[in-house]
Amino acid sequence: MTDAPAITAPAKPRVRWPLSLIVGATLTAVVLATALLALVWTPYDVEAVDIAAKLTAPSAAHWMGTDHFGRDVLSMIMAGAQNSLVVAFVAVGIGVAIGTPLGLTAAARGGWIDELVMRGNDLVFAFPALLLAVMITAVMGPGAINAVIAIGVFNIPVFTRVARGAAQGLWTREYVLAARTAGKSKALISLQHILPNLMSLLVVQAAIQFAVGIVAEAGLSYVGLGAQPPAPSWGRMLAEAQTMIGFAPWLAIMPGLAIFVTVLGLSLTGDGLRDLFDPRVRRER
Amino acid sequence: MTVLDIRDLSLSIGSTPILKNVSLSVAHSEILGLVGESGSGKSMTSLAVLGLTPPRATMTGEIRLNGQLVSNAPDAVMQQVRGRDVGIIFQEPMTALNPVMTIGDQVAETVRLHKKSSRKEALAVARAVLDRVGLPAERFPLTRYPHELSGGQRQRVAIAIAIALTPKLLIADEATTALDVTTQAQVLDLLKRLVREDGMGLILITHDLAVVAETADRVAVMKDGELVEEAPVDHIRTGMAHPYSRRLLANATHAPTRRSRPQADAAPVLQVEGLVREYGGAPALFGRSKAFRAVDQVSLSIQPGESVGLVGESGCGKSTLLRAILALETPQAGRVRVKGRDITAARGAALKSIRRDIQVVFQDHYGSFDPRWKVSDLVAENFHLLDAKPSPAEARRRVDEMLERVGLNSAAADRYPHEFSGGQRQRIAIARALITEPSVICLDEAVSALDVSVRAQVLDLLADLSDRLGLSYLFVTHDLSVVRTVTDRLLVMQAGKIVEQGETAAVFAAPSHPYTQKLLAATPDLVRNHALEKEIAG
Repeated sequence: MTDAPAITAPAKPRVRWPLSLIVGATLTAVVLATALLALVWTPYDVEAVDIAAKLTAPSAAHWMGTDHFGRDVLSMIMAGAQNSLVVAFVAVGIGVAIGTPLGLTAAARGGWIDELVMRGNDLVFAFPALLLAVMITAVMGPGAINAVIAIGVFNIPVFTRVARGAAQGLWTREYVLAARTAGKSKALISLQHILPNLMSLLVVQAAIQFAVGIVAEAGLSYVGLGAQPPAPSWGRMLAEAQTMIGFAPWLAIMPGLAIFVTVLGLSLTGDGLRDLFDPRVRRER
Repeated sequence: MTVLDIRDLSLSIGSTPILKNVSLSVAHSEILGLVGESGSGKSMTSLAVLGLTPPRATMTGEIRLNGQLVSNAPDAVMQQVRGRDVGIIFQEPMTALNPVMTIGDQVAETVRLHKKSSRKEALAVARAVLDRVGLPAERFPLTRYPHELSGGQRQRVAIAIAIALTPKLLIADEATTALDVTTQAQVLDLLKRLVREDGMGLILITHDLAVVAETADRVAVMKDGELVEEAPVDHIRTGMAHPYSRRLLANATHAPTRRSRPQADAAPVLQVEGLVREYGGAPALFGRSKAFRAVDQVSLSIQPGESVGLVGESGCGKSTLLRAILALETPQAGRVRVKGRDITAARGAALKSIRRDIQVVFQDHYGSFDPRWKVSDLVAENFHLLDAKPSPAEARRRVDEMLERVGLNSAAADRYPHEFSGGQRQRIAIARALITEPSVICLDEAVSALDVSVRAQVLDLLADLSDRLGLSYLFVTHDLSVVRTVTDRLLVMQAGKIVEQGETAAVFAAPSHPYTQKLLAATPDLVRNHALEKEIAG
């Protein structure tokens, strides 16, 4: 047995970071840094009312102007970032934590369990997300926590679907068959072979759902079902700006821009991660 | 007169040379067999002719097509040349065809791109060409879609697209590799007929010397980007000049030496009785869906130390049978006994203990190993079957020992599967199967995808392991040439049933079932040719 050829390792190809990932991650990092900064410092006290300075246009003192109570818009947006990010993040967490195991189980077991999970999924999917959120908050009362639950519930079927679809493909792989001949249970195989191999898909989906969650939170706050005053919230800022848009447009533009930048950053991050993980896309670039 | 003339073609990608001073020519009505192992540059040569080299490739030398210089020609020129002057057929007919276009439109597309003809005229041409490749109008109207056709029929459509404008040169790049032997024989016959009728030149690119021996007029052998030998095809029979060509030929017909004989009087290690596996038959909206019987009353047995071949074409049920034997699928009827213990009825700890005795090696492919696992963990995965799992240090020691036994060094344990070549990966798969010291190993097309030299090495390894450990093998394959040299007994499967079984030599010498006869007649036979060569030499 001396005929074994030498083990040759192919040179590791240099990773080319997708542009969308670089831009997206930078934007997301800025938003995140702002939110963290707001924990310890904002230019003005978020809840400080200063009627004398009400509705001032953006200036050196108030970079983003003030609202009808004279509150500093920049400070409110910084503090509001926390609310938006936390709500969206926890909602994604709920989706991943419940949806992924459901999808893995459906793919591993098949048969009636698969049917049950997927039809349940369809049921949740069939409800418009916002309507579902309105229902949940209507029953449980408005508030940030209930907004989190509402958006999280909507995230569950998304992750179930992604996990199940990808897992079904992986179950036909020969290494999974080999693991079965090693006497491993379906649960163990799901944990050891399936989950790690669909991690990249889940991360991409999480970034996208994060962006969706930001918009959903803003939507719920806009109709008064999200974070309650005086806690600052981008969605409620938009709602309040509505009546004043004619003479104080910055009140609508600034939170709108904040939402736009955050969602853009997260969407680009999701796209970029997909490009990075998907060798087919990578080759074409 | 020459159709294609390649002079001193060199090609490199970055600083890596791919082709070195390749000179080749193909005449009218000539079939040139271009053979070589993977990475020898045979496909790159054909892509260079078509002007389809990768973007960063640099090329020197001359390629003349029908006298016209096409090397380094601008893309606009090459677009005219491709399809009109050169046609190409690839290995995988499913991905070569557009799944959402009818076959008529796909053939007509080529015509319309090159000739300013109306859709109606182009479709008329398409009809005529499809008739020529053996897809008559009654059964194959122009409105068929690729998914409605079998693999061989799809390859015929691909050929129709390639010859629609009667090119001077046709390139078939492993065009029959993915097909069953009987289909392969039909497609090769078709290609031969088209060459005869149209007088075009054909380059038949393949790793299979036997196909070349039976089809081509001349053979060209490539190795590491160089053309090492060019000779009339009967030199395959009478003796090739270059040592590499000789080695290629010897490897293709390699018969490993086996010292031990199967123990005929011992209790069988694997016994299958009346196995039935059906799909479908589940309650549907109206009544029951029709059940499809993939495995129909199959019985077989394997003695200790015996090597048995199970051959059949795709869809005959051999893979399903294998999965049922490995208890990866539950059969509807029948028993599978491993060393006397019924694997089909076993559950839990009993099943685990039976699994220790029967293991599997799959076709080498990227799907064979979890890409995220290191080799040490992959090989150790089967320790899960042991009641008393070894300590990590002990497991590692046994993995290292096993890797050395299959001819890898223990440094391999810390690497990932993608860092290895195909043959090395197959050794890892064998190590994984062997770690629990089983009695039977099932090999599912385990050497089909390997280059002949690597295949010879793996077959030697298997024979050696069988001698030393008394292992039995079940070779499941579509390739008769593989089982011929390594098995004691042969089972031939057709439509879910075993239609013939017997001593391998006897089946090859005098097949009794018509299906076996058909299969053998369709298989390109190098062994026969090789024996002839030896006779002449001796």
